[in-house]
Amino acid sequence: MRSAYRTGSSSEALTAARRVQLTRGLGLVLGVFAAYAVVSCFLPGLLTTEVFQGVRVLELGVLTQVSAIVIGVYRHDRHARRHVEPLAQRVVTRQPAAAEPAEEQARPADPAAFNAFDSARAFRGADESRGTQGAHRASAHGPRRTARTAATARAAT
Amino acid sequence: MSSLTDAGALAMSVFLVFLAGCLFLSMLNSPDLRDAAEDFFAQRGSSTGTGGTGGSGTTGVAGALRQGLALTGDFVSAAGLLFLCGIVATGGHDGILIVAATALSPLLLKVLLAERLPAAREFGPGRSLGDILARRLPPGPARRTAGVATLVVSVPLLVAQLVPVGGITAAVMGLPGEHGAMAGIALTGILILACAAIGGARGSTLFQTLKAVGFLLLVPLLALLVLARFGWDHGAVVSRAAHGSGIGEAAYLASGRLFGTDLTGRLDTLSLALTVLLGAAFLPHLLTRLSTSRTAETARRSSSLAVIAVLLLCVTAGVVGHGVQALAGAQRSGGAGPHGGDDLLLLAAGLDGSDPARPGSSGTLLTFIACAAFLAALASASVLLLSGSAAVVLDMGRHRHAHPGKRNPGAPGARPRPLRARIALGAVGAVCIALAVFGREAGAQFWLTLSWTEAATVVLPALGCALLCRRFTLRGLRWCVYGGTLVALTLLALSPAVSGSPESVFPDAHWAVFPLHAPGLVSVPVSFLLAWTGTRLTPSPSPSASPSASASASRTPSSSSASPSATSREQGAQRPSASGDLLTGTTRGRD
Repeated sequence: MRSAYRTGSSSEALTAARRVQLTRGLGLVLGVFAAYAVVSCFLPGLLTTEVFQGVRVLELGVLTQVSAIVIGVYRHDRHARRHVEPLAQRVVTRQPAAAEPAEEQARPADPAAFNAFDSARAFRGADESRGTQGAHRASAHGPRRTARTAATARAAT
Repeated sequence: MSSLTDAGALAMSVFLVFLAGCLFLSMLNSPDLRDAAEDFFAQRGSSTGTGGTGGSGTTGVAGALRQGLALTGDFVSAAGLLFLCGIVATGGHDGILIVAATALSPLLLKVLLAERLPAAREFGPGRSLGDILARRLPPGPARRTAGVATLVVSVPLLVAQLVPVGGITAAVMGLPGEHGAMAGIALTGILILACAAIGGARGSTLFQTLKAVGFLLLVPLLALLVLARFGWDHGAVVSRAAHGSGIGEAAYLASGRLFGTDLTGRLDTLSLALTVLLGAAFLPHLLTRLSTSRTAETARRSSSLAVIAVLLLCVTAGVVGHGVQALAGAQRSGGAGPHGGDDLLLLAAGLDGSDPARPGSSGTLLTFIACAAFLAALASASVLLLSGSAAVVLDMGRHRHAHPGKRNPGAPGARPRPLRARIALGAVGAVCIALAVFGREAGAQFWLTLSWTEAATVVLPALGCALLCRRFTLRGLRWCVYGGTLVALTLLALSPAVSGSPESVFPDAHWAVFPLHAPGLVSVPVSFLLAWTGTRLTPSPSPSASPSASASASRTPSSSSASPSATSREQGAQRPSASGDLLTGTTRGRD
């Protein structure tokens, strides 16, 4: 895991990892599109310039774009596998960011239902760490239960 | 008996057998009438829904492969592929820019929203756009707004599917003239409607998968045939296409072929490319497909497959587009509709020597392409019909106040039955067939532009803000959906696509005061601005309101939507689930 994600809490590291993933992906898509669109619309003579043996700049641009898309998919998936999902699992199990590799083996009970991008589930352990009775169940069944539990607790006191 | 030996009759017979096969497959995949409408709108086991059968085989590589193929089918519609081939044939390098935008759009969806759309188990799968928005905003009004957004995007896209495939059906079945075109559209529409109503989500997913596999085989095959015709030299194809265009190689390869070389024309090309990039990625049925994934990992894998598949299709569509111009020439391409919407027929005719304009002269390749086009239109129109029907039944019906995944299944009559869903599907389909029959002169490209513009203007800001912005409120959603729709429709009505040009809907009228054919360059920022303004102008919750009152207001879906204060309704984003939003980066760590 990247050292930048080892500092601070797991939540902050997860936030940073997801922000990096989003900005990189958006930057790639919008950058490639903007470059191609600006050249095509405002520098039209450049595209028809022949580079060598009949190959034009346009064809090289198409090849570059195809490569950029393939590389973008690969890097996005690799970043999710290597950084986002381990951090999200760690947030669920409430382990510190600099956890030992052996502790990384801990998995939630139902990994098939785990959604690394679902913040309500990712922060389930936050309520547990506060020690609020019933918060685990409330968080696991959605935010409305949390509000209801809090209101019930206030009414009881 | 002698007519049966005729090549045209043989082609028609093959086409009819193909239609019967489609209907048979729909019947095989028909959902049980006793099931709830949720099973009609989403495939059982493909989701996180508690009502599912556990989703055996829907996770892992096999599940991602199936989901990815279906997603590829959702991305590339019949009209979209015909449009891409045609715009490359007639637009030259401008067409390549549009194809490049199309290839980038699934990657945009992947990086922006794909992994955020699958819901947690308590929310259930997103069977409509309203289900996705209702995770963050008050369900009733958010669903109603999402239903409107779905309909304004899906109906034009459905009309765009029916117009070209109706023409292809008329050509294969030998129905000449205007009445033949109308009959072809009506016949195709009724058959598609029947298949969608019978098959439901399972049938449409099967057709989408078949369509994606067919496209991934057919379009590269056509590209290879084109390249083989010209000695495997793409430069020779482009040169021949430039020669066939009749304007010379320099002019054909120059920019500005679509809308002119002046600044307005270049901005127009840029606006169309931006509209395609943003609109093709955020169509409601695509989002619904991804939101029914079991996990974020499945959504990520399937979207990766879809990105690569769409990329392959776009590259080969570019070759096919140049091949159309090279083989058919400008004179015949000019008769293929604005920007060559029917150019694939011309390519088939050029490759196998048949004539699509003459009844009874259908060749084998032409019939094969007609079957593929019908299957593609059937698959695309099925999911669009289901999307429209879900918008009517789930998002605008009487159950719209239910929270996602909490539809009170135990209450009598609480779960909408497939009959209601099928009636809604029939109503949406009838409207679309009527629009396609009477609006066929507008051409598929106009309806596609309208749909993509609406998707980029309405769905992208609504969903992007709802899922990525913590403070987004219901007022912001309403402003961007209703205001964005109004802005997009107004700009499009005042554009040269509707009046003032020979290829417009009303060529004899002239009220075009807005210079861009596709207004996405203006309407998308305006819609984002409306969303931001509506959110900023939402009144803050009064400090005098007790926390218990606000808690009880958000306790149940029915109470929160039936009798809330106006402030609590507008403050839809104040639900606790948004408090831990990781995406904005504003949440402090809780460790």
